[in-house]
Amino acid sequence: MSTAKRPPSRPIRDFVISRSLSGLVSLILVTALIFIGTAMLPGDTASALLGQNATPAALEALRQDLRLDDPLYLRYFGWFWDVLHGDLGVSLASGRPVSEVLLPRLQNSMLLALVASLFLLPVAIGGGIAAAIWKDSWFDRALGFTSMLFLAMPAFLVGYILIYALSVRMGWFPSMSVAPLMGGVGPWVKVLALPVLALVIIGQAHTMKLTRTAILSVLSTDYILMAEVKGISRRRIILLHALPNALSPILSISILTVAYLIVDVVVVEIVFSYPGLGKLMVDSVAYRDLTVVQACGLFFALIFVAMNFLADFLAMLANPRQRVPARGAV
Amino acid sequence: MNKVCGLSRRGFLQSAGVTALMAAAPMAAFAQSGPKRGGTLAIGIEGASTGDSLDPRSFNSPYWGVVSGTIFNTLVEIYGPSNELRPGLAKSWEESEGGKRWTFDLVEGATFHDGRPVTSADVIYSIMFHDAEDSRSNSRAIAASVAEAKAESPTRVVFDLKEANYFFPAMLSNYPLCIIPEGTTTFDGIGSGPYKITRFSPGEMIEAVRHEGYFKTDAAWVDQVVILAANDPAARASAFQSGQLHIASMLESRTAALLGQLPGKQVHSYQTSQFAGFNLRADSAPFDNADLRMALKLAIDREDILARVYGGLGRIGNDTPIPPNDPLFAADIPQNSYDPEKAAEYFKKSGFTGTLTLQTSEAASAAAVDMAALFREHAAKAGITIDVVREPADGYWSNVWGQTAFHSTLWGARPTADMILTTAYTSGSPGNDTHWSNADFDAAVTAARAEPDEAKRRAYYTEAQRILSSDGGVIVPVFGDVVEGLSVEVQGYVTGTQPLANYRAAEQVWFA
Amino acid sequence: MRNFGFIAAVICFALLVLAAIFAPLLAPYSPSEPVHMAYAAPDKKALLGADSLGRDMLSRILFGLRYTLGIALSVSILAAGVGVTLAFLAAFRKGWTDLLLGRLVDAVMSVPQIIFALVVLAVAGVSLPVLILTMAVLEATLFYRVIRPVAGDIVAMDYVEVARLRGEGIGWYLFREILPNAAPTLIAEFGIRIAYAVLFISGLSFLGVGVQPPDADLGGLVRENALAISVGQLSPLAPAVCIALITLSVNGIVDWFIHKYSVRGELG
Repeated sequence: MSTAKRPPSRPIRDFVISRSLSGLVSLILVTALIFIGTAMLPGDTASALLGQNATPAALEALRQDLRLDDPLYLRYFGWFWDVLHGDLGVSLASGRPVSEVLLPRLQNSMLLALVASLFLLPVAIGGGIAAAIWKDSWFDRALGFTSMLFLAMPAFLVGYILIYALSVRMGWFPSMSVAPLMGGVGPWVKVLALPVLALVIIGQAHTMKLTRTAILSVLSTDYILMAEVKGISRRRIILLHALPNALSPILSISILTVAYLIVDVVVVEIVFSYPGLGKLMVDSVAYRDLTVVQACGLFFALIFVAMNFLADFLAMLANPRQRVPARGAV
Repeated sequence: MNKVCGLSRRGFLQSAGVTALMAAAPMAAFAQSGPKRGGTLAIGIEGASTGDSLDPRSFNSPYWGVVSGTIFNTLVEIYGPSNELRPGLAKSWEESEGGKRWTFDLVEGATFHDGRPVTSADVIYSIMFHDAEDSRSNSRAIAASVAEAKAESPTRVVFDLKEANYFFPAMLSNYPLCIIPEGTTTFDGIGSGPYKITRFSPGEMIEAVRHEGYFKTDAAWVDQVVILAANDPAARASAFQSGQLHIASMLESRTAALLGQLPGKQVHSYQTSQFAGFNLRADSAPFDNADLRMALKLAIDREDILARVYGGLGRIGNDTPIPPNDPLFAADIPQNSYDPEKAAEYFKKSGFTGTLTLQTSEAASAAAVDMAALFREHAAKAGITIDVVREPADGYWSNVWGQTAFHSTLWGARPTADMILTTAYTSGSPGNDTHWSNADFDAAVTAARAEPDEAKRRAYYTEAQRILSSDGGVIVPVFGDVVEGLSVEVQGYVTGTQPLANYRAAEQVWFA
Repeated sequence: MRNFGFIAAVICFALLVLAAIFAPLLAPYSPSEPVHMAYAAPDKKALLGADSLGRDMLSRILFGLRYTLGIALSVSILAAGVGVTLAFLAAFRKGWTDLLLGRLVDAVMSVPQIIFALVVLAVAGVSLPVLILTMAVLEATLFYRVIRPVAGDIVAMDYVEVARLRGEGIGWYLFREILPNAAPTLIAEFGIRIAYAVLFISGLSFLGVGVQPPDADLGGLVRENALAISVGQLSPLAPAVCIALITLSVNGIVDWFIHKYSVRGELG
């Protein structure tokens, strides 16, 4: 048993090392997966770029430009080497550096995720705590039902309803979430309003449920049960005893929520035409822009791996039982 | 069933009539106040992508047509619904040596956004670099038709063509042939046009402000222009309704009547020779059989497609690329129309049995996918079984189009009938996507091009259309009109035959 | 109260499944034939109105239900089979198998699912088998993630340890000890995954890489008619509401089940 041989005294160091290594392996696997995947796409970049008007001569010129005739593994290793040196390559479609294409989109994605979590987290976590305090009350049930309702709705339904109601009918917000720079900050507030609202509606249910569960699971620990036996009020127990203990799970839930808001909102980005990373990747897949697809994949994986690492790390700190790596000798 | 989304059929037809009227006489249709300056114009159109660049040789979509018409100028411009040629950067042009030599005189006082004057050297560079070795321009053939381009003076350019071409000035209105400073290699959007770029976010938007030194003094009224990448028709329609867009082009025709009824919005349409159709590959089984080709031409209900796919806005096609509104349209040849019984007869005669697989894709327009679904239903009534397969948009042009037996095709508008007939249907042309070959047709087209007498030329073109319609491998059911939406405060807009007032709406309009 | 919700959910889900099964009998028209005017408003002839080509919306929804439910069920069954087997294999073998499977699952999970599916579907071409397989692989990683700790606990339970010491084979464990112990978690997770798969296939079809026209699942129906919403016609909301009804009823059943058997709380 390899786990049993590990010295049990250094769980944190072990955790960091093993998770960093496994994160790296994940990144390599993901990028290789996407690299092979994109290379196997039907048709090629050259003809996708030129469309119907392509002449064989123009196609050949472009193919040579893009070095599409090199073998796959050469291109992958070349790419990986460059990435390690901070060079993401050149967009096949536009000839501009990938970082130049990608960074504004990454910023947009981050901005949307941050603004959305600013509204989402207080609502969802507050709701989750309240639901735990008044467990099985009408409030808990109503909250449970609404969160179930929102979990059941496809993201595009929420998006379309918002567009129809608040943009087409009321005219309060633009339906396409792109803003001219010329107007300053004002337009950005309007532009972000609908996607943020959609994300809060779609995302809060999950976070709220997780928070409620986290609090309730702390409540089921022995010393809280003891406190209950002693006759301390449930509200007091939760706010003074359970909450502090539930802080790190709640923190890691929040981190995972932010990660979700960055990487998993393609449908919302598309419904609102929001220029985020997900939309960039979808467009680039359609357009065969392999280098951009690669870089997007890398960033998604990087954000996801890093955020998960952080969340698990906090969860581990919070739960002493998980710190013991083995169950003793068999 | 006489309701279209709560609107009576009669009302629907009436408003369709109104839009047609407006297309015919756009200026008369709404009251105009005099031009005045100011405001920010937001335009939404499809065809932008994150891979775009400002190299004119890469301009190849409606979006880039609009950018070209906003940021740049061409030598010659096309205006209005009847394709009138107007001066652009060239104030006049004349032909000599039987159409082989063309001399252009440039306007005085035109400057680029950085202040440099526009000279004949810039013009020659801008046209000829489309034929450079690494060029992937869709206008390469036009540049390649020039044997020699000379700058006779800073304001006079002479093009000597390899072959006579009376359409050369019209071809120079093609939007990728816009004029940029000589020697430009890093493309930053410097042009001579009415607006200069202040921000370029590929696949998102372009922002531009008025070029104060613009050589046209009676144009460029609005202060700023924003061209939004609105590739999704639903997003375009919503943004137009919510007031985010002042002008939205290429709207879904089925929603035209509804959008036009909204307060503060007007909708009109223009006719175009662009078409979505079906290719029957004529050089191999099963469609090397002329009876089978005719069976399918009679098995498609063109009226139904016009009504359902184009909301009644369009003209019936006769399986040639020439639309009824084209001066060269052959009106007196037999029209292929829906006749399930006759189609069944031809189908039986062809000896083919089994299922036909029709490949289609969003790449060939959303209308193509809808048309394929309807075609399947129409053909079923004639006992012909069609299996519709939707292919992914990417790879469609390289893997399916022009390759497989039965698939959707899409041809954009070409400036002349000769161009589309030659490119798409003569034997051995690289663009011949049906692989149809007919010596009589080739002879008619060649003879027409060299025929100086107009009546005789027309007779040749009529013969060519007759052969193509009865024997060819393409099904052109309908030429759909293009629908555009405008906010009422936008004034001065004159519909053309291409989107956004032949792409030059930005310099044309003002806010009431 | 909870029982009432449960009964409502069961009835709703049963009705939807029956509607899907008997779609050809229930549909008033063929789902592919244009019988009304385009975008016709609901009336006696077309109970839910017509779509962009004038096809009957109700008929299309009934047939769309078949696709959505059929795909979601086959995906979940496949994914459960693969995910659970691998999770127990990992828990039982530990060591390299566990590590390798864990890394692979991590890698697959570290790309947003919808993006992963888009790349795969673009490579392999969109067809029903590819669609189901792709989704099943992605769902299997989620099954794995949830079941692996449960499996770990079960394998570590005293009586299983005892059995292991007795030298029983893996098959004995699986069927006599592990599965019965894991059943409540498994069933709850299965329900959640069905609901998730319904949303997933709807999302893919919405993005245009799901079920291909002229056929359409519920998500595809929303996409086809998205334009109608912008002109104030609400017919595309009907299939979207159907999607919500499926997931809602499945969630309702799972919710009841979790409480009844007090399955571990972190599900969902």
